[in-house]
Amino acid sequence: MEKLLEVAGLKKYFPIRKGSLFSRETKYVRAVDDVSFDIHKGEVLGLVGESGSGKTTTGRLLVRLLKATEGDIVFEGKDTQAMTDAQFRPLRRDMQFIFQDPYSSLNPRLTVAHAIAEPIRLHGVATGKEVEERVGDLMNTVGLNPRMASRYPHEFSGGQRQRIGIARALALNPKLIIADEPVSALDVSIQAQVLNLLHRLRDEFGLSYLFIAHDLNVVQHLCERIAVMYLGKLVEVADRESLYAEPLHPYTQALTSAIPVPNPRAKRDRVLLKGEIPSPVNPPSGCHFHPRCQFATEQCRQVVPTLKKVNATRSVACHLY
Amino acid sequence: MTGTPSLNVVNLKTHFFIREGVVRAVDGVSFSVDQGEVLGIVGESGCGKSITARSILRLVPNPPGRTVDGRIEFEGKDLLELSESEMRKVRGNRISMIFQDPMTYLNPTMKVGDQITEVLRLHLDMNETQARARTLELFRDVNIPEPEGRLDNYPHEFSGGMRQRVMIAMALACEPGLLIADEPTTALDVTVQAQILDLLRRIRDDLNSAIILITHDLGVVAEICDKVVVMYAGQVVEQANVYDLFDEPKHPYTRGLLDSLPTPEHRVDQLKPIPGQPPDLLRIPKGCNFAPRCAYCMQKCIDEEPPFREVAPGHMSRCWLDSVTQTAVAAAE
Ligand SMILES: Nc1ncnc2c1ncn2[C@@H]1O[C@H](COP(=O)(O)OP(=O)(O)OP(=O)(O)O)[C@@H](O)[C@H]1O
Ligand SMILES: Nc1ncnc2c1ncn2[C@@H]1O[C@H](COP(=O)(O)OP(=O)(O)OP(=O)(O)O)[C@@H](O)[C@H]1O
Ligand code: SF4
Ligand SMILES: [Mg+2]
Ligand SMILES: [Mg+2]
Repeated sequence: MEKLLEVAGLKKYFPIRKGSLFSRETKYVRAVDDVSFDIHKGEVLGLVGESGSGKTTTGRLLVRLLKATEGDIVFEGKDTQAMTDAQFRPLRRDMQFIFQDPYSSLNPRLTVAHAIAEPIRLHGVATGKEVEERVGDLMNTVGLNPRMASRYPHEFSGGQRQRIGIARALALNPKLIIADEPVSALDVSIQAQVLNLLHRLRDEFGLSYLFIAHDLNVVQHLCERIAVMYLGKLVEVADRESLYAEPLHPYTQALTSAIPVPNPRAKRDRVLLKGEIPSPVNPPSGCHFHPRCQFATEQCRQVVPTLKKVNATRSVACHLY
Repeated sequence: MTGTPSLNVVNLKTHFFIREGVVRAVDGVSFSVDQGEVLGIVGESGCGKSITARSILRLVPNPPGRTVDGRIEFEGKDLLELSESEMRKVRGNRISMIFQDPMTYLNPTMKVGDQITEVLRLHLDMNETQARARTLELFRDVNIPEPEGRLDNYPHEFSGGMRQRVMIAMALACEPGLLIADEPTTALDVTVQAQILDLLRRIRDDLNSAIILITHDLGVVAEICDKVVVMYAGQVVEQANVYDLFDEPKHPYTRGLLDSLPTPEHRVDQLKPIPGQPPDLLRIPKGCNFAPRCAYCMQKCIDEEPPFREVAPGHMSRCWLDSVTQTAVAAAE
């Protein structure tokens, strides 16, 4: 399969000033710390991990809502990091971002038609009557009745609002959609509507997704490959089947064992994690996971493990392998 | 011991009287929970789960809300009959509540340790030293790492998961007979969620408390609940023990919820969302509240409200379907 996006050595360090005004010591939140992965054409890559592990930051870096501290982001063979903002502008059409919160991500004063037409007008892809037609088509695509075009966001349910957000993201015929927790705020029955829609759009338009989520049941449903993040680093990347059947990284093991299974008879062999996720300002030495890992050795305390391929479809960053 | 009732809610009605009319947020809800039992309340956003919980503690904002009917029997008393000062002794003492967003309920300007010692001194008449020692014990119970150093932290110095544990420690301070947890893990990661659920299980087993767990996550329900109440548009539409509910859901709404879940089995096929939306609680339809979205809807469902009745031993459902099938079966025999 052809590569759509190649990310290598991506870093984002947020500066924070700690201590007194005079110490002038700048510390950094290492939100994304040397992350590499690819997304193929038509592929859905899931990105999971604990809260604060750097998932959203990674997504924002890809679409340049944030500037990377270091690293390469190559889209369709073009190195985007070398581009000026003006050079990057056409690529913004190809990469769209869907936000988590369908309630706050829409302007309450814009009708649905306006909201969806906005990116079309902004990028000058259509004018006049064409815009209206395009809006109607997009509404149909996401399962909203075009007759509702003149309504305002507050007149829609959460799932419908999320679909308006998706219609906006589709307006410019993107190739890659970065969806940041797009169904987390929704009820299961509405969540199912949106997941089905994302699924269908991929089949119809050959879209690729980076699907950020913390619900591993949802990720398993939609994504064929999954990357697991912990404290700014990828600890495991694997195809869906092997990740759930046999998670390799001890953090992935804890994560998959913690998934609530909607079956009261399911056997649960839970790996309960001790302690809290450490601070990304002062990450632990060696393997970032070692203070919480039941298998940690001296090597883990000292040497940072790198993401190594263990077979054709999976890689893991852990000294056990 | 299970089998001893802790709370018995009968025909609870809490309505909001607003300019546009009457919002029937809780409209005839009945259920009971025993000591040492975890009852799950599930249902779509806005169906009345939180207002049910708040009604039990008499914390519904009035105006515009008012509990207009029903009984809430707890430890031999009807809570709706108590005076406000009697009720204050029940709250935070015999019945505790934990909320989805701990930040709203923790005082940001007060050290977390002090917030708990205050509760202990108020309800249990402890002196400062006793209260502090007990607080430390509670912090250990809820697995707060390095508890000694943590007592003097402020809430913002804690992560979401730790704040939730502080809330739980506070809720446990007086060893309540009933703990109501409203979406206690919705804002948390699965790994932190697993720790919190483990904690709730220990509370049930060690203190023999009754627990009401409000959630919209059916995975969480399957994980920890003994009994489940499914709410739809202000009413209980189904109630059963957790095995019967997942094995043989009776009400079409419950079936719809289960079919919407992304599970490994559902992956290859498409998910089956419930069509449509819940009714506006200002304009509840005449017959069955679920009728407009129900795949099995019959004329009778539109005309008449179905009764809440036992459709299998210990399994209650509010739907015409079972009675119709049963009548049809009976007629055929
Ligand atoms: N603008 C910023 N300045 C400083 N720190 C930041 C900034 N944005 C994010 N961070 C920090 O970077 C880390 C990663 O944050 P990010 O939002 O990417 O995590 P996440 O994996 O998306 O978490 P969640 O699941 O909670 O959404 C966190 O520690 C966060 O506090
Ligand atoms: N102050 C109020 N005035 C009018 N209506 C209200 C008020 N508070 C709540 N309601 C209505 O009561 C209904 C029940 O609300 P409740 O908070 O119990 O829902 P819920 O089941 O807890 O939902 P969620 O899962 O979103 O927390 C809702 O439809 C809500 O709109
Ligand atoms: S009563 Fe009728 S409409 Fe209501 S859930 Fe049962 S079958 Fe569906
Ligand atoms: Mg995020
Ligand atoms: Mg609620």
